[in-house]
Amino acid sequence: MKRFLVILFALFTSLAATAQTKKYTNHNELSVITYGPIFLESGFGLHTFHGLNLNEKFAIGLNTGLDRYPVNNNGAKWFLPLSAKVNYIAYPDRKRSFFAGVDLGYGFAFLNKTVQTNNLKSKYRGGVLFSPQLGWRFNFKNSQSYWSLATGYRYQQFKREDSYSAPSSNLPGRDYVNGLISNENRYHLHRFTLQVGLGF
Amino acid sequence: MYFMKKARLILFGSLFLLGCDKIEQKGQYLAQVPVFETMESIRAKANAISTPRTITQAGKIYIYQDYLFINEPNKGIHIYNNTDPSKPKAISFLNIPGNVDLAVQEGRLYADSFADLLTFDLADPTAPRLLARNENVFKTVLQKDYINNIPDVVVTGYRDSLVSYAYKNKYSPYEKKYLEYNESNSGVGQGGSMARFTLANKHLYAVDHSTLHLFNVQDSRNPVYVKDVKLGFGIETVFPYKNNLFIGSNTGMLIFDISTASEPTELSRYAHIRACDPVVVNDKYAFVTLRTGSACGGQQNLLEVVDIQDLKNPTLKYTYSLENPHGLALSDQTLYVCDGDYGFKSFDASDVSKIGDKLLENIKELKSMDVIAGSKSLLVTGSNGLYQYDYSNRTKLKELSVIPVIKSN
Repeated sequence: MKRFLVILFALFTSLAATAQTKKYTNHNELSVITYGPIFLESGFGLHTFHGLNLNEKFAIGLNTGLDRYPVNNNGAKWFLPLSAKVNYIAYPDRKRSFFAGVDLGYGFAFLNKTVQTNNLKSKYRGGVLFSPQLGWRFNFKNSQSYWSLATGYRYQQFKREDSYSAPSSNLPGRDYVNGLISNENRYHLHRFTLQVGLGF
Repeated sequence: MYFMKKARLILFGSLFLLGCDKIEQKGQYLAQVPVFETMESIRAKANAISTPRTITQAGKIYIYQDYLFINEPNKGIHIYNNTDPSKPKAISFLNIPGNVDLAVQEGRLYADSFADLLTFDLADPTAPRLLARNENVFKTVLQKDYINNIPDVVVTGYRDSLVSYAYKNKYSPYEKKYLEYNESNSGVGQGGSMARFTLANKHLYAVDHSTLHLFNVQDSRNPVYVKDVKLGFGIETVFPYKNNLFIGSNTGMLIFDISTASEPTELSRYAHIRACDPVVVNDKYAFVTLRTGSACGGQQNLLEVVDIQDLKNPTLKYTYSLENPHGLALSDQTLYVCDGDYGFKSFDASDVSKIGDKLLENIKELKSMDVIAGSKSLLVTGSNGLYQYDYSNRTKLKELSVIPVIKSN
């Protein structure tokens, strides 16, 4: 986690250092986060990318926003994603162009409340985020702006840590259990995304 | 252009991708983990006679001549000289690991030791001598130790243990269930069996929770295993009467004809009752208790009187409400009922249609579980000990003695 923040900071400062010569770029997206093309138990994401064009085709920067994932039997979980992102545009000069992007970062889980009862304390911890996307961008007439349509894959990891101050007997179907001491659920969410965006 | 086509293909293809959630669960819990032992190891250290010891739990009680045999579940048998029921005297303790029941006939004591049937000579009841051991005849107690992969072991106890677990699940809303379930830690089994012994027609009938094990004891030095008869689950008690066996299960009462002792024949099943500690019988009626709050799953606290004059068609005659009835005994025209925490009750049963109206006595302070009408005394197992009463006056029991049961913590 610390290492990740150090890398992001280094990336950010190096971007800032080169910002004098490179052109700033921005891309904002609204995502439907679902398990597949049939939208069951879907969540959403709002993301904003701020970066620099390294050349005509490549841009690099930071992506952040807000994600909501419904998690089976465990309610909806909220994340604040912070990731490094690389964008590639195949034909920047054309009115319509294929583009690809990839995010690698961390989803912070502090928006999910710690559950505290007499005996149980459940804490959420965030985890690695990885999200490649493919799509088209369509330039507006006589403008640097464009809108985009993309699909992708989104991997978000997080975990819930339960600790019991006194042994608790609540593991269903296990009568011989005298007391639960600790429990950790590590979730690997593999989701499909559909994104619309605006950028310049 | 070629690249664009490829990109379209990838996008189109991605529509067929399906996501899922993979969940890794791990943790620790405190559990009572069984302690396993092989029968060989148990046999090697079995049946030493030792000096009398405190009873920490009273199981089956048996009266033989002037001696009292009190089973301590899974440990052995306490032997008392009961010549004077007002002063029972502890003589010795017979170590029999895994023992839950016993029966005595013609100077022979039959007792189970986990999977084995032991036969003792009672020529000197103070020091029974092992005559025979029928090995592995009660196979239902045999378990497998999955952790160490050892078959045919028995559970000799439980110990507190910290157990780690780890599971992997996979979830997708397109299939409304968990797709995989991998458990990396298991092997915690449940052990134990409650045998019920009875002797009739030179045969020993040993009933566990689902099976009747039949032994020919004509040669009392050497019981011969005859066969097993499957009874169905939830078997609780067995009561022999003349040429019939009345077997109480938690879903009904089974009646077997044992006039050919080696070939018990099922005559009928009296269903619709959930009987736990059920049956005493006379020529015309079976008296059955039902209770709630037990493992038998009963819904009512009742005494039922079942007409058994036609053994193939037992019919319910009368029903009486009780508080929490356990064991019962019949002596002449008096029915004794252990009503759990609600006392020990005696009823005049001369007219079965009026038992409920004819309470003879209720000893409220005696929290009772089981009762035997012996020749010299009435023995009642209570939560604090084994009580003996003079029951010559059936309207007023007279306490003779108490053998204390001191629970170990």
